[in-house]
Amino acid sequence: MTASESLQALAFVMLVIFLSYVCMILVPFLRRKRDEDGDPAAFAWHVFVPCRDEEAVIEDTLDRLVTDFPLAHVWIVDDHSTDATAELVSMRASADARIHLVRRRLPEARQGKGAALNAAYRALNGWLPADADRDHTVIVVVDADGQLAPNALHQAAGPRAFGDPTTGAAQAAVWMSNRNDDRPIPGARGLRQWWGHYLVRMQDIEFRTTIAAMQCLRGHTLSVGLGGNGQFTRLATLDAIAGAADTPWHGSLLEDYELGIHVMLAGFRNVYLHDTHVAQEALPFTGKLLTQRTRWCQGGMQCTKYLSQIFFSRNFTNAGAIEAAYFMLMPFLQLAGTVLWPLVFLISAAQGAIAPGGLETWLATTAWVVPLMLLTGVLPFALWALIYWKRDERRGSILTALGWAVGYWLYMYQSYVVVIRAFVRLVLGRNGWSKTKRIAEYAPQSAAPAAAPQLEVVR
Amino acid sequence: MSTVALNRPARVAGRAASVLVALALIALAATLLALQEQFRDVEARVAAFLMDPFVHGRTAPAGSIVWFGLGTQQVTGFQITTLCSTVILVTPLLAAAGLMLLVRPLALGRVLVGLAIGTGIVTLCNLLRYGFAAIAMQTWGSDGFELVHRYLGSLLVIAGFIAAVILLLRFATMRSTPQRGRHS
Repeated sequence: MTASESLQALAFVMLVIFLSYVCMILVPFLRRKRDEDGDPAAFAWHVFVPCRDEEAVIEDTLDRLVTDFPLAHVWIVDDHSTDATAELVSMRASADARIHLVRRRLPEARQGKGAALNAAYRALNGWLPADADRDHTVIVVVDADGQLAPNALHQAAGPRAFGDPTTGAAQAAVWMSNRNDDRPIPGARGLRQWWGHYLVRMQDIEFRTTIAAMQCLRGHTLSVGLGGNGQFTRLATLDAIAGAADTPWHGSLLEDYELGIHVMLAGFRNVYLHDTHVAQEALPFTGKLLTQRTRWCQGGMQCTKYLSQIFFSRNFTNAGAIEAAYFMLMPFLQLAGTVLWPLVFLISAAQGAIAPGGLETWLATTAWVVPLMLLTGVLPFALWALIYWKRDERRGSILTALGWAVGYWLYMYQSYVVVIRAFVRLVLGRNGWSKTKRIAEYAPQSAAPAAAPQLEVVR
Repeated sequence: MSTVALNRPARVAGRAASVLVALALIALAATLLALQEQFRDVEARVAAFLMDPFVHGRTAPAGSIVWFGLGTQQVTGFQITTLCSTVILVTPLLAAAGLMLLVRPLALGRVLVGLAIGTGIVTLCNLLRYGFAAIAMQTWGSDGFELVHRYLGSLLVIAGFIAAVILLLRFATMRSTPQRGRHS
């Protein structure tokens, strides 16, 4: 077998593995049935909100949480904010016993989200009575801009979630809160605004279809991944992880997925809650989006250190271990693809150029590949946008759906940029990341009049 | 002596057998790749034999070429190239089954059943592709051949390969009963 044939064969096998995976996530997603609600009063709920410079959004988040979830306590972890976040929360905490402020200061602060959540865990342990029923206490992690759906606790208390004593953690579906905002970039106009709107829509499609479908498959393989927003964990499960590994949350850049691995290694189930959701801001900026995704991708790559533990664990199902391994190796396969696909094309074109008839003949004889490429290289991405339009956000005509489908296929190419950046950072040992700014922080001064008077009061 | 103690040697022996089979499967995959030219010759013989009742005239293999329409006015041959060969489809299944057996204590019998079914599906799909391509050639000429060989045949093989991968995984991971920490 020549080198060229080997590369083409490898490309074909990788394509088929990818298509198999698409089929495997699509079927359970389309066939899933609605989960039953449970009684939230059967549990104690504590919402952890890690914050750093969140003055733009924290008050709205607090309002929503205390209004929508009267049973829950809210723990705001201020990670040495330089704005008025801590002061705003402190004022609210003094007026409402269900609001707690966990203040972290440098040099202990700013060690990552995992460290902030561990601080909240310690503070909660100090606050809870010694005889607290930790099996019936659930920790909810919500981002500072997170909007948890009002039915979240009912779903989390359901018989398939924490109503089942083997469930250690659950992850809510993720929606984009600004998906229907026609002007997601404050102050921007024209093409920039259109581009921002496009990016936001694509992220909503991605989370509500592709990622949701992956989670539905994991529901069957018992390897559901936890996210950083809308994450639920039983306190007794966190105790078990802390007992075995010092702290519940760890240092990976994808500390949420890492926690999910620890939950499963400890012998508990992770479940996915598709019938409730947490809404978060999608990023309408290309650079910020690529940065965020690079961080996630690098974090996923870091989690490969758990592969051997997963393979040897009796607490992982066989299907779960294989699914988790595929998920963790996916960035590396994609990295190989960034080299493989162009190489296969170039070799094929070069062979065509030196063959009788030259490039023109080669182009004519290889035109048959185009429909196959559409079917195997475009449809597996585009179909998610069509499903989204039909099931989630039926806006506009079928032309809108087709536009989203093409847009989603093109949007997915960002992953090639992301995976290369993540790999380079991984090799160079660069793990530092700055926090992603909220969109409101990009607003021109005149566009955010509500925040200013409140800040003055605090100061 | 506890049940666990009694079962332990059996479990160790079972695991050792799985590892041996895994290594054998990986070695078989490597051997198939190394001997793919000879495999294609065998494949051409099998394809010629199976196609014979369905095409006009007789069929005959010559190396990796399958001749058909012998004894008629139109004799045609197609060569089974490396990239068209069933080797490309079977080898990844063998390697995947071997790797899965190496890293997880899967039920050996189920993996082998899944592998047998998967291998059977991809082999059948590829042989059907050869047969349909030959029939299309005789019925509609080279345009028919191109259509079946490149489009329909490729789709058939891709669909078969996907089905084989899914079935292999399904069989390999069946009846996985996780033990649940303190809740078990």
